[in-house]
Amino acid sequence: MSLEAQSITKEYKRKGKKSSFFALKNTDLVLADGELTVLKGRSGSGKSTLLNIFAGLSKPTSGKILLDGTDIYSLGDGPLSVLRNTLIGVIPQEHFAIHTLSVLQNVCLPSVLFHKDGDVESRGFELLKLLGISELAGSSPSELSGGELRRMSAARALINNPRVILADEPTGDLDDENTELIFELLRKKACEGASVLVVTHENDAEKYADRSLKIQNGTLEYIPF
Amino acid sequence: MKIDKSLPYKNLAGRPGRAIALILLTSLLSLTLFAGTLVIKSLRTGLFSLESRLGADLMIVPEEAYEQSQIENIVLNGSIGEFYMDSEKTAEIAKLAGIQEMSSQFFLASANSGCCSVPVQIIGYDPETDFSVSPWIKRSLAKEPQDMDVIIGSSLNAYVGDSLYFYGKECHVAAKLEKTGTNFDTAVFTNSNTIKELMRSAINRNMNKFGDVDPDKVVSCLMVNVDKAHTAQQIRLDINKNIEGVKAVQTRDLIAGVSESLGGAADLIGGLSAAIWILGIGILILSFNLSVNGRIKEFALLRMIGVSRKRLASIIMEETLIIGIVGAVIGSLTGLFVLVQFGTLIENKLGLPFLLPGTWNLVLLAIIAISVTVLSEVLSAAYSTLRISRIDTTYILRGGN
Ligand SMILES: Nc1ncnc2c1ncn2[C@@H]1O[C@H](COP(=O)(O)OP(=O)(O)OP(=O)(O)O)[C@@H](O)[C@H]1O
Ligand SMILES: [Mg+2]
Repeated sequence: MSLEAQSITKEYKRKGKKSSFFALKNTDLVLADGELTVLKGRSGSGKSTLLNIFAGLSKPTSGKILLDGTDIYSLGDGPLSVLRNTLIGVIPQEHFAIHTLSVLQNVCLPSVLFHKDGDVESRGFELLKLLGISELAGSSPSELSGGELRRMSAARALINNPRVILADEPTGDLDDENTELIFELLRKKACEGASVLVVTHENDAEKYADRSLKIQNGTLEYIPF
Repeated sequence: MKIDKSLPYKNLAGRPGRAIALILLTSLLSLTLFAGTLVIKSLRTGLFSLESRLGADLMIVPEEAYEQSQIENIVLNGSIGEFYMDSEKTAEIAKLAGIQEMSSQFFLASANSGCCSVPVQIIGYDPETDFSVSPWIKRSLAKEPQDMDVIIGSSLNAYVGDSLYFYGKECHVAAKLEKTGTNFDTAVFTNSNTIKELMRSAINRNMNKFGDVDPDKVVSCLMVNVDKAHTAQQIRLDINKNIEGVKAVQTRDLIAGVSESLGGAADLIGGLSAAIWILGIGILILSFNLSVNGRIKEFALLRMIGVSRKRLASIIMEETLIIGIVGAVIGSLTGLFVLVQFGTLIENKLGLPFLLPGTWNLVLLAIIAISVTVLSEVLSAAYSTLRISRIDTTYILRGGN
């Protein structure tokens, strides 16, 4: 299984301006099984845009995202949503939580909402333990610090054991120790066969990566290491 | 952990202030709809019931009684009175063309009696010829009333089998009538023999202001139905022109004032309800929009973890439905309780005939009010729900914003 971006272009119309703006220009990228890809680039270079297009959340202006040969954006909203739920795990750049649910319920939501079998709750709890926030399982997300929320997001992205993991600055508000913890976990998932794409500014991210890419003004370039 | 089904409930419970405010607003809408409709309907039924109790095209009364609006006061304002005209008039009127049926009635104001803290209106009718009150009385009393039997209005404080004394005469309560919502609910009916007996007793005790009348030679009022070939108007003019000392009144004219005030009251209630609804629906639309805006990140998250547009819309709609149903039921039940509890008070305040519909009609009306309210709630939320299910997730998920 592979997820492949084929000459992706994303054009944004900016309010008040006549000319449109290209956040991505003719981008090709294959996310292969078992591979951890690091994506770097300056702010505004198009990292999140690319990640969201891979996640099935943002339709590219032109180009395709092929999953085993099928363009995911040719699917209807229903099947695409199922695909997002079952195959893709996203750690978004911003903090997101349902504040009326507990931390553990938030983590389990992608599974519970879709009647997945198995003991979701203990799986969720294991993930929280792995990320060092199991004592917060019963708390409300509004009581959590930025770093704790980030780790909750990571646990939520991993609850359904996705084949594709898309992480948008997953360590942005974490200390060195927890940064290491997250990268090790993502690396482990890649070793187990997942395709992992990590947007990051961490200097030693390459340590965990199979390859590193840089994006500049919407154009990708490979960085050898 | 069962969040899948209960997510809408959790969302509501997590913001109790918002849920309670929306439920209260909804219940106000359903209360207004239910109570407003019910009051208007009860007034209409009351008018209809008054019309059928009068049950005649024309009422013929002595001229002085007409000039003093006595018949109006008795029928519409709940005052009591007595007036008499020569029973010879009956024969004179019967000779006129166009009269299909005619029956006489006798009025007597009671002195205080056991059943009633205030004097009541006693109405004597002739079971042989009567066509106006008999159909109604027969619903409560299958056989003909015997001499010294009385049939009492539903609001009087006595029961079948009780004895009541009028002018020292013992009468036997043979039946209690159905509620009509009109002043007939505080009246007492007897056959003509009985009322004449009571009149004689009143005269003997010097308690009748017509001390010199002979009960056998007078009547108070004639009820007349005209035949198909004539209009009530024609016969009224005919009687008023040709028969001395009496005045014919069309029942329609008599209750025209009532139906006019009823129309006014209905317009007022309808207008008020409409204003509350327009305002309420506006507030609902606004607050659904605001609440959806405030939760845009939650909805984006749900989309991210694989909730489809349709499913997202149904989660929000389920929240709306819970609020709608709970609010609408509370509102209608409150309305029902208030109207059943305070119906009489409303009736007195309005001074109009007021008759609540029967249980099944009440239930039906409540179901309709609840459905309409829930439907309006759903429609009010439709726009914001549609909008949110079509949000561009990336705009929110991209970060920054
Ligand atoms: N919805 C939008 N409308 C208009 N312009 C947009 C929109 N989304 C993104 N952009 C623009 O596209 C460019 C790329 O945005 P993107 O979010 O991908 O950047 P990024 O590389 O993730 O930056 P950062 O490191 O700050 O998160 C930016 O210049 C941004 O202003
Ligand atoms: Mg970004």
